[in-house]
Amino acid sequence: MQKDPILEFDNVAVEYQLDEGVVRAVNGVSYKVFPDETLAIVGESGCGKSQSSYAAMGLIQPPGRITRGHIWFREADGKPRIDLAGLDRNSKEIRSIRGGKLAMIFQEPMTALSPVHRIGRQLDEVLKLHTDMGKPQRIDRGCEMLRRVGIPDARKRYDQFSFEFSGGMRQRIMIAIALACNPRVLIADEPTTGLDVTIQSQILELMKTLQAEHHMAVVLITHDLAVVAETADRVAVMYLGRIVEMADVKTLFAAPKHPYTIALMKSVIGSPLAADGRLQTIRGSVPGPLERVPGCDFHPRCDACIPGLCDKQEPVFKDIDGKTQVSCHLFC
Amino acid sequence: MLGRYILKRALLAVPTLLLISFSIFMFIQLPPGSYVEVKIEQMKKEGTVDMSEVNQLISRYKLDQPAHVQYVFWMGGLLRGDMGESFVDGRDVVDILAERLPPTVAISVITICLTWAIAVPFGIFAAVKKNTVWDYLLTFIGLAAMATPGFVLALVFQMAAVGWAESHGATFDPSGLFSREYLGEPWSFGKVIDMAKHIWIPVAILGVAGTAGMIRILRANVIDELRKQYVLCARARGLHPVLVILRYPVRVAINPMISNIGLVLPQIISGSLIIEKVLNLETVGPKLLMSLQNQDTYMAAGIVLMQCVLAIVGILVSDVLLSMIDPRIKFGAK
Repeated sequence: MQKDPILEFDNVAVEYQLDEGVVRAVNGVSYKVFPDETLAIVGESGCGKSQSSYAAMGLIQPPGRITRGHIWFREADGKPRIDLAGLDRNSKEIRSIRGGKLAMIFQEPMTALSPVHRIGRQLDEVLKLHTDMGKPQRIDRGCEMLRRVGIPDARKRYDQFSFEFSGGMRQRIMIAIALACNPRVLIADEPTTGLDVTIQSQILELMKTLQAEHHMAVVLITHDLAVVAETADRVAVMYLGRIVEMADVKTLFAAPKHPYTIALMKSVIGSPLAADGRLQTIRGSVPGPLERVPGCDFHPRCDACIPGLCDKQEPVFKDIDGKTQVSCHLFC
Repeated sequence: MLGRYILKRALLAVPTLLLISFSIFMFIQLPPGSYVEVKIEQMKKEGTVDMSEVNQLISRYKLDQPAHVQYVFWMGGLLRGDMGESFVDGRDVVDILAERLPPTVAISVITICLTWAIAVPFGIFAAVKKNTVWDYLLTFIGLAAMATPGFVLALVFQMAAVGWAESHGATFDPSGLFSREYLGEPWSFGKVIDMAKHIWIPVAILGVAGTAGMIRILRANVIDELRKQYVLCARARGLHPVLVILRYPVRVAINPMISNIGLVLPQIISGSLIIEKVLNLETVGPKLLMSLQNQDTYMAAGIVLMQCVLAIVGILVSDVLLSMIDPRIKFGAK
């Protein structure tokens, strides 16, 4: 992977200015994604994994805003990169990128399509916005996309409404809409949450196939480690708005470093890391959004916590062996 | 498909109307006494009781017969387009309705259109600006408007109109829908113009509370929809933020309001009775009140029947409209 990264987060922070205080949803996230690569971002609910990708799409709604960092996006190889973090969320520049070269699919496919518009209307919309195709071409392209995501009888289905499709079908349609303009990056925010297991693997399989055809980069946001193991090339583990560990998928599963990553893996049913075969839990709970933890964010829940160090000093995120980057005092 | 559906509904309306008309007729007869007694009382006050006149009234309208016989008599007339006679006015009910319905409908239709035209943009605005100064300001104005009784506004508006006319050296009679010279005249171009000069007062008064209420409803509907995933998805496609709101959440939020249209139609007749009374309008509402007080059976039954027809038509209209704009709703689907 000697190519330029398509998407590059550089120390990005997202904060919500509320009456009760400041919520730091994303707190200094940095990562790169390359063509043909799938980066999985894993973490519990509320760890900022979705918020970081919303930041790239310009979908952070006030009172939230990007307070720090750069999100570099390269529309094409050799072209200068654009800082998405510096664009107004409603600006023409970012609107011309999102949905076109930078696309996203969301969780809850059941409500992702308008209940009163034909699905073709929504496919047509994205093509009209990002290409200069004429109407008949757009219909052809829309139907072609439906066929490619595995929807039979595409021309007829094109004129149907969302309630005439099942949940899995709706997520396929969302993928068709997202990929209609050949994006360079697809951000998939829990794309299979709420779908049953067979449909889940079909959707993931479909994403892989389409990724290979388009040389897309995929950022897969999930809390499901099984999905990560199945699809990702590299994994970033997030906790409280920060990436605590990042490694390629084999390294991460074979030798997890950060105590949080290890704890996360132990709490999966059938995990080999759980010595006595019983399901482990992570003690304590995620601190409230307004709470500030001194030192390492994870130290109150960490079994390997070193008193006097972990609760005082913030660990630095760094490369420890050429394979894994981690932010933990145990590896300094 | 649509034609057959409407035909089916129209046929279904016939037994409904029969049942309703029978109930109306019986309910109107329920209070003790009848117009005959009212008439005799009036004559007593005037001094002489002319029994021959009373007997003539009784025999003409079969007032000595039981109520169901009178109903059949009334129905028979109705089928020939004869709605009977108003005892009080001594004129045909059809004529009175023909005179009073046009201004009534005009006031209501203009009010409804105005209400929508104002409420829709402001409702969307309040929803988008939720919990900002703008939203609070609109909420405050809305609550004040809803809490002010219409008849108080009526008096205030009348005074304002007279004051304005006087300061411009003109005279203006704010009472009623027409100037004196057009009263009782047949419809003419001049009469319509004259009505336009007067109609803004009732329209403004009736519109105030309705608009304020509708802004609240639309605001709540739009806020509900703005949270939905499909709005975020539309935004993620790169659609302009204004278009995102107009094309998706607003489109969905309008649907329940369409079903409201059907409920508005019957209100055309009696929805604004107090205000019409205060403004002394020659509309149907005050007539209904008077006829009920005087046991003027045919007049009252005629008006209430009219209202029922409007209710049935209104519900049919909103059903058809709703099924046209909301694909989730199908005609006659079980």
